[in-house]
Amino acid sequence: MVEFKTQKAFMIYPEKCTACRACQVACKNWNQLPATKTINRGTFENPPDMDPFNYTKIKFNEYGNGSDYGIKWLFLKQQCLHCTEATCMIVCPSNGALYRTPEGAVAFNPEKCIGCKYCVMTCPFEVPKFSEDTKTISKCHLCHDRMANGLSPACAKACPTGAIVYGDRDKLIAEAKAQGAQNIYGENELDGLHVMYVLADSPDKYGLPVNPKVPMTVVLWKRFIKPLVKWGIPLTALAVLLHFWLHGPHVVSEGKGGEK
Amino acid sequence: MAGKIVTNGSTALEKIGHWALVISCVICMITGFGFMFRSLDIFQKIFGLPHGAKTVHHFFGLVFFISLILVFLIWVKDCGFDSEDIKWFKVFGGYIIRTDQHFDLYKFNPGQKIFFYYTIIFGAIVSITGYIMWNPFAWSRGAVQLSYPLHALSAFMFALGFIGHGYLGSWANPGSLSVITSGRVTRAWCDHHRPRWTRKMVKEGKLKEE
Repeated sequence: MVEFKTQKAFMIYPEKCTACRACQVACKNWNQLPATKTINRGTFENPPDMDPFNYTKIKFNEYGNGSDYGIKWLFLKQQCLHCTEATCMIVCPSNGALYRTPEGAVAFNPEKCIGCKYCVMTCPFEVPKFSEDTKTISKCHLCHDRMANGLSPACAKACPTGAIVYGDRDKLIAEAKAQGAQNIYGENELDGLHVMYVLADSPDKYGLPVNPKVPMTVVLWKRFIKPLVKWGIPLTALAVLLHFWLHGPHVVSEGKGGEK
Repeated sequence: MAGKIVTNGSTALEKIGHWALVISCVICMITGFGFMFRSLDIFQKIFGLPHGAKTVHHFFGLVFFISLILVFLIWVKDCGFDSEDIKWFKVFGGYIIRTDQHFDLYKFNPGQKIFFYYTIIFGAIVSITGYIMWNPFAWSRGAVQLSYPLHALSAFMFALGFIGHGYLGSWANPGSLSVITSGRVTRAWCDHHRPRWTRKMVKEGKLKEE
């Protein structure tokens, strides 16, 4: 468990979300992200997915509810969830390209990103997006520049219904529980997310993984193979030296090879 | 015949293939371990910051793959196993524990043949997974996620082989290294390490001596 000075987080109440998407606009505005061209796909949901210039997005999950009107929406605010056990930070090969802010968010430095796309391919929530224009990844950084100055992230500031609540992580959890929340998505997942949800239905109905985990192959790669390399190579070199010391070189003497 | 020098211990193509593989392998290992261990990011910096190291890793990865194919085509015909190899295996050629036993080998001893297949297999895995990781968006997430540990593991196996092969080819067997550098070895070395090859070359009049 990583310890932070003051863990800041979001508690998102999807039931309060009206999908006005003020958060999407505020995010674009603060981060000065360009508009992206999309097409009408027969849904109010837009853009279709998070991309290098859309750090956050309201996902419209549509379900029939049996009435004549026939539809029920489950809105999900998609963004980086700022895991404590962050897969992206585990796999990143470049020092400082992905880093932890003092408040607990996972921010990125595009100048240090080498575009290997490891994080894009392994994030359990498929959050980091790679831009072919900049050759780097980008994602939500929880407005760490605003947080460092005591302001709330842009999306939370813009939310008119109070669906995005920003504050100290412990207090947010206590508050949600006091209001009767049974399951807080993100309280314990991946050692605790810094963006949590009070869901009204099961996570998969919202399009969230039910049991998010660091992929098995990443665990194998970084927790088993990496130490194997760290110890295996020096020990092999040592074994070779030991062999040379014990047995010495194998000299072929003149004439010896001639015996047949 | 003692004291004579054989000058055509290996062909020009063998030398080129071998050293292209060695050089590309070393550069890929240095940059690769620089990526694996962030504390070793000096290995990234000497190749022009992480961005440059990535480009270098990709370029020499390509050189590695091409030279791997080259050495496979050159040596695969010399790496079949025969009955003499079984005798060799019983004492492991006297390589690990020294013996005076002698074997009527052709060009490579069975240990070298095993190392040949070891190199080809792990070289192929590291190349294929590296190709997948190069442009991950062309593949499924599962395939790419599986490539990461396989790439690391085969690179590790390659590094171990590199240490063992480099040791046995140089300090452990003085006189052997020059067979792949200048191609010049003593006649005694030829008679000892590749007697069947030497006899064949003599018979065909292809053994160049000075």
